[in-house]
Amino acid sequence: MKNTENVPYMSFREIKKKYPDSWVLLLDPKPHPTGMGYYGGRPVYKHKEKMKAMEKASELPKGSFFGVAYTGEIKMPKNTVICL
Amino acid sequence: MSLKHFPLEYSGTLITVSVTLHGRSGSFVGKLALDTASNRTILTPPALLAIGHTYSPSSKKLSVTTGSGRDSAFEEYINGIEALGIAANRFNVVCKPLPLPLYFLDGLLGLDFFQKTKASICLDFEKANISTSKPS
Repeated sequence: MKNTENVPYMSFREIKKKYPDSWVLLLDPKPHPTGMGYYGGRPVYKHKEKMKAMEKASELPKGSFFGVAYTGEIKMPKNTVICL
Repeated sequence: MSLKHFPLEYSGTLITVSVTLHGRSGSFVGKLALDTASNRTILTPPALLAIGHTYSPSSKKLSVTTGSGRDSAFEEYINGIEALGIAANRFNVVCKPLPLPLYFLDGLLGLDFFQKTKASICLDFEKANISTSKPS
């Protein structure tokens, strides 16, 4: 992974606008003031597949604080009941 | 005992919670479905890998009974877990993939998290929030 130190902090709204419908690897994610979701972070990688973004996370330096956020709308398949 | 309130967050039709997982290589903020019908907290293999843990021959293997049958899994201690204003150190999680429709989840936040931390949880659908409290 390229040098991530200079990647600027962006709000999650800005990240969504810049990288729509993507899985974004965020360094130093800031939890939303409500305690749910992200308020923002430093986007260091994006991909259409979640697995690729998760794999990239393993390349981060040891001790990193990170998150993988989806900037699209999560759609559940129709006529599907979730029974975990 | 202080009460903390959090707005209900949905992913599709599931209630999801932002959970910070602390592991060997770093800390990851993941999205877990709140599942009090699961007696254990489950992490997907990519989520566990992201914090530096993976299957090893010394990992304890488990059998998991789900709504659709039985599955195999393994368990692993992670350094810590934080969710809904509650934290637990050295927490034992079960690692198992989730079915494909749940691709957006990193796991399930199970009953054991609330049992271990002795926290209480209240879902208020009228106010659309989750309240947690923990004995001080």
